[in-house]
Amino acid sequence: MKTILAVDDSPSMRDMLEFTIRSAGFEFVSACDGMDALDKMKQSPVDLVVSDLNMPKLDGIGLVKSIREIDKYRKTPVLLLTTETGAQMKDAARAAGASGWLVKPFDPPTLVSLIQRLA
Amino acid sequence: MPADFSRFHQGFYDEADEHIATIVELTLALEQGAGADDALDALFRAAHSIKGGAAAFDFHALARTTHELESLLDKLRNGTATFTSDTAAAILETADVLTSIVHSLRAGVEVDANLAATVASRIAEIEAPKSELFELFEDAEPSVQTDVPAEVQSELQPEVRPQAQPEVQRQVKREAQPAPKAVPEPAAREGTSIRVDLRKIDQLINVVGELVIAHSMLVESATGLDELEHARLMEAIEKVQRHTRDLREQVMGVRMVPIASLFERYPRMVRDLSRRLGKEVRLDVRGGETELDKSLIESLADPLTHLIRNAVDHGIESAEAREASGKAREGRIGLRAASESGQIVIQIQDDGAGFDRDALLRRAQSLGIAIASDAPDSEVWQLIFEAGLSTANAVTDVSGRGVGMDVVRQNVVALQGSIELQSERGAGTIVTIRMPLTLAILDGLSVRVRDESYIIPLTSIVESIPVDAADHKVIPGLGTAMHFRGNWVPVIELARSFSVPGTSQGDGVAVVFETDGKRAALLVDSLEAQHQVVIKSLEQNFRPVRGLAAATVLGTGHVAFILDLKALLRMEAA
Repeated sequence: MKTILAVDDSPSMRDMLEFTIRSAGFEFVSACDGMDALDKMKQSPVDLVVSDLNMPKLDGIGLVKSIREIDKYRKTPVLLLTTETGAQMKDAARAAGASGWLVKPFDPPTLVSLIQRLA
Repeated sequence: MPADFSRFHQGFYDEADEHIATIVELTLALEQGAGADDALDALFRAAHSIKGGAAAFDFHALARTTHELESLLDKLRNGTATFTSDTAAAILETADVLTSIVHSLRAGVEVDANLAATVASRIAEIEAPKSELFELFEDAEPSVQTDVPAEVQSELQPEVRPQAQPEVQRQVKREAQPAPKAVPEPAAREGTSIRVDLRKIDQLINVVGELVIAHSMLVESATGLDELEHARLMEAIEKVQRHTRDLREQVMGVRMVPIASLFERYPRMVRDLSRRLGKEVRLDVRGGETELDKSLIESLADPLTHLIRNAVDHGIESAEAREASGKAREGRIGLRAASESGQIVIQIQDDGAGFDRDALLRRAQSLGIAIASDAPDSEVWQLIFEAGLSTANAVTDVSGRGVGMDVVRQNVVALQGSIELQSERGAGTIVTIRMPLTLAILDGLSVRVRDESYIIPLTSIVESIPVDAADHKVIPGLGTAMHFRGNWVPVIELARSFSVPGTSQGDGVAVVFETDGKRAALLVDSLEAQHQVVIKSLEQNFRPVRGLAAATVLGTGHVAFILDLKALLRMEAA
C-alpha cells in the first residue's frame, strides 16, 4: 500500500487530509511543517507528498527543493496545496520541482484522483 | 433509414433503457467511492452502446447526447477531468434526458430538440473550469499521445484509446490487483441472454398449464386399470408426470427475474430526495438477486417507491436532529429481499424517528376505530394502514409519517401479498412485505360443496375442523357464527353463497381462514386434496364473478373456482 505524507501547519487541515486520504485506501503520515516532513521522510519511505504552501520553518516551495535533493525522493510526486493560483506561484512551484498544485480548500475527490494518478 | 429497420426499434429502446439504468447505477457507485477505473470503463461502454445504436437508427438527438456524455466520460477516464459530485449530478441529468428521449422515440412523438442542447451546455460547464482548480505539470505525468483526434479513435478502436497510463501498465495493474468489488457488475445483462416478449412466455405457460391438465385427465382415465396388464402405459404416465412437472417449473422460472431490476431505481430516488430535503441518507440494498415473477416486480414498483419515499421524507430525521439525539448524522435505509419458504420477503427498514404508539392509539380512538389501549403492538402498528388514519394530517404531525399507506396495503394485498409494520419510537421502523413467488400458480386446498369443487388458497387457511350443526348458531344481527379458539367467527356457507344445488356430500368441515387480519369459517361438505393449480383468469375466459378470484381445471377435467376470500368476507358483511 502506498504511503502518502501530508504536510500542513493547521491540525484541522491535517485531519481533513487524513480522512480523505485514508478513505481512498492509502497509508497516511502527517507533518506540521517542512522540517518535520523531511524528518518523517527520513524515518520511513513515502510514496507521495501533499504539502501546504505557507508554513513556518520550511515552506512548501522550500520543502519541494529539499526533497529533490534527496536521492531516493528525486522522482517522488509532490502536490502543493495553495490558496493562490497566480502565475507566479505556478512558476515557483514548477521550478522547485513540484508535480502539480491543487487549490485550497480542496475538493476531496479531485485530490484523491490526483493522488491515484501520481502515486 | 429504410422503414424496414423499424422492427428493430423496440429491441433498441429496451437495450437503451438498460444501458441508461447501468449509467445511473455506476454513477451512484462512483459517487460513493467505488473503484474508478472499472466503473468508468463500464460507464463508457454503456454510453457508447447507446450512441452506436442511435447512430445506426438515425436518432440524432440521442446520438448527440450520448456523444456529449461519452466525451465527458472519456475525459474522466484519461484524467483530464475529475469525478466530483457535480460531475455525478451532470451525468445523472444526462441520463434523465436520455430516458426522456428514448421515451419520446418509443411513443413516436417528436423529440424535444432543446434537450440535447441542454446536456451539451451542462457538460461543457463541467469540463471547463477544472483547470483553474488544479494542475499537473506536464513532466510529472506519463505522456499522453494525442496525435489522433480523440473522436476518431473512439469510433475506430474503443479498446486502445489513449490513457493517462500506458495500456500495458494498466493491464498489468489490473491483473495484479483484483478489481475493487464495490462496483456493481451488470453482468447478468450481458452475454448469453436474449430478449423475449412477455406475452410469448405467457402463451408458453398457458400451454404448459393445459399439459398439466391433460396429464391429470390421463391419470384419471387410467385409474382402475390393471397395473400389471398396463405396466407400460402406467410407466409412460409416470414419465409424463415427471417431465410435465419439470417443464412447468422451468417455464415458470423463465418469468422469474432478479428483483435488482426494481431495486436499482431506488438509490437514485433516495439520493435526489434526500438532497432536496437537505438530509443525509444512505440506502443499503441487499438481496437484489432474489427472483420474483416479472409481473409482480412491475406491480411492486409503486408501493415500494411510496414506502421508501416515506422513509426518507418522514422516517429519517434531519442530520442536526439525529446528532442531537446521539445518532449518526447519516440516516440509513435498508432495502432487502429474500426468499423464505416459497414466499418473497421484502423489508424496508429505517433508523429514523419511528412512530408514537400512544399518539397513534389516541388518533385511532378519536376516529372511532375500536382498539384497546393495551392492544398488542402488532395490532397498533397495523392501524397505520387504515384509510382514515394514514391520510390524516394529525398523524403526519404526531407520528411523522406520510400519507397513502392504505393505498400501499391495497396494492400489496391485490398481489396476494401481506404487509406489516413494526416501529420503535426514536429507533426506526421496519415494513415487511410478503409476496407469493408467482401469480400464475397457486397452492390450494380443494373442497367439496355438493357436486362442485372450490379451491381455497392455502396461505390463508388457519385450520380445518369437523363440525356438526351444534357448533355454530345464529347470533341475532351477526348471522351465523362459530366458536373457534375462544372467539366467535362468522360462518360462510359456501353452498348458500353460490346457491349450489344438490345435497350435502359429507359430514361438514369448517375451514377457518384469515385475510386482512379478519377470520371467518367456510362451511364445506368435505376436504378433497391439496394441489398446485394453474390459475385461469375469469375476466379473460368468462366474466368476473363476485367471490371468485379465478378458475382452474382439475385433473378430472372439471373446472373448479378459486375463492376470493376477501370478497366473500365483504359479501358476508353486507
